[in-house]
Amino acid sequence: MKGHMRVGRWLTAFLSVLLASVLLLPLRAYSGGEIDLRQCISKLEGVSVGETVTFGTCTLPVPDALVRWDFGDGNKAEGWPVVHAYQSPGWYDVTAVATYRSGGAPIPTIPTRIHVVALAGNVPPRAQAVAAPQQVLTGLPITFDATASSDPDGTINRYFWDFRDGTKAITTTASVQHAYSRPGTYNVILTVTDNGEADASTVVSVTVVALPTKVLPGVDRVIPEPLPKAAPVPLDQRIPRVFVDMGVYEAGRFPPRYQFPLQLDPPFRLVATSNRDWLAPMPTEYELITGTRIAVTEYISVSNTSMLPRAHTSWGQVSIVVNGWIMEIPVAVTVRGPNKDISEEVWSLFNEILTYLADQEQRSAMVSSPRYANGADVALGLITEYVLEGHYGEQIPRQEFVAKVAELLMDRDTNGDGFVGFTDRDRGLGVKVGY
Amino acid sequence: MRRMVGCLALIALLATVLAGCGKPSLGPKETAEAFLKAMESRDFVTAYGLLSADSQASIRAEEFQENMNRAWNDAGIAGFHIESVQQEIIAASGTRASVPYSATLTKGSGETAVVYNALSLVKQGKDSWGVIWPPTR
Repeated sequence: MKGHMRVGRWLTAFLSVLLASVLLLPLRAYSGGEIDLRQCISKLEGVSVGETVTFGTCTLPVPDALVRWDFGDGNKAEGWPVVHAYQSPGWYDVTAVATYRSGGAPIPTIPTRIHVVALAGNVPPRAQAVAAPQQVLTGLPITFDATASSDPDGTINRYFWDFRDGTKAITTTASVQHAYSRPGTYNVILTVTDNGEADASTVVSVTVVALPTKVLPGVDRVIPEPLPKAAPVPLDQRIPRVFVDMGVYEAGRFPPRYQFPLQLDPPFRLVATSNRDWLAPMPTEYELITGTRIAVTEYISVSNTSMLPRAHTSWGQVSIVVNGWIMEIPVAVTVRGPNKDISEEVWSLFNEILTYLADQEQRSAMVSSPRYANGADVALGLITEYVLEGHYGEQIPRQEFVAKVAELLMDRDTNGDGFVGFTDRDRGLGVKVGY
Repeated sequence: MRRMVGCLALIALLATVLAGCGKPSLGPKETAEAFLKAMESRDFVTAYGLLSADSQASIRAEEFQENMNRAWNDAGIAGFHIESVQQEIIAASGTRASVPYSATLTKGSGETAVVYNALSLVKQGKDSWGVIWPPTR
């Protein structure tokens, strides 16, 4: 009996908590008090006819709220902030309805009144601003230009910029640069003041996008590292800009989940690095799958997770350095194919390597070796490049090349040069001098 | 009665033998050729059927076809033509083989490139072989 009573008490308590939760649910949505519109409008008294007033100058307590303004003169607008100019003198009741984008009860607001007075001599200026680029990566500058602003009866004396990230700037020239450290959409407010101390405002929006922070699972590929002073900065004037389709690439998942067009203007340093050394040296010119040619300063390797025939079309790991930020991104690259028939040379070299392996009693290494699951594929990738890259073939004699490929497959130093396979100097042969 | 049972047993034995003869087992080179032929005609269903059991276990048929179609489309490959399939190389263990081949890739722009690659195969059961996918696994 006692047990039943205890269960009953627990059940009552549980139901009470549940009921309280349900009843309090709408209140949980927003508990930050009311939005006092008086604190969020640039000017309430002595507003001149035609003067722009900014509505929504304070920080919105709920960042993703949708705000609909009623200016009291028959005009309405949506946003935070917005600007409006009254056309005739009088008192105007300003109200705003703020709601969550996801729905639910509105956030309470305290309405206010604005007093608009007739023009007294000085005609207020007109504010206009543009931003370029309108979409940018974090850390890169945006140029804000207010040149189109004007004053019908005088001059603009100063420009006040509220970048909406906590920083503000006052300038006497129409142009200013600003960089954002955090991604997001920023509604920048420009207020221009004329020689009669009348002002006008406008809003210009910019979107700041984060640098890719996740390229390969588990590895942070974005390194905020300044360019070494001695590093060469290759400026290939033939390439005005490069579009890179990049995305999150997971092994076994092809193609990347999304594409992000990144527009790069010189100067930038484009380096394709190798994530597997066995395919170096490689040609120094590639083209993105979109067809844009890229030049690389180092050797490149292809990923072995591609579903495509390797050695000619696959994924490369490309590092791009922009203003000191290094982004390592996987890109689909196609290597230009040979324009001559090299089959005879390829199969001949292939058989020489096979013979070398057989002499070492390591023929199986061509199938699967201690180092590579598919030895023949590795050998063919190297042979193709050896035949195609003239300077590579000139500097490594054929027999030496055969021995080095065989060494790689066997994972054994057989020619006694202290290296298994290619030396660092050998790999450097694929790099064009002067880049 | 005993004779009838004997006849039925003989028929059953013959049927089993004939059924076995209906699907001749392919060697590494023949399996690779069949796989590459399927790839050439973008018949990814047949290609999937020639994968090793382990490879099939790692990817579903629909997923394999989808991936292949996407990969080819993204790379802008308009044609894949087999040029030559070389003699297989069988590892000392006898359970793994490599079949080198060359093929011409034609891109949408009409540009062609000859690729030199090798397929890895693994022995399955007594006489049949399956293609390892991806080839560098």
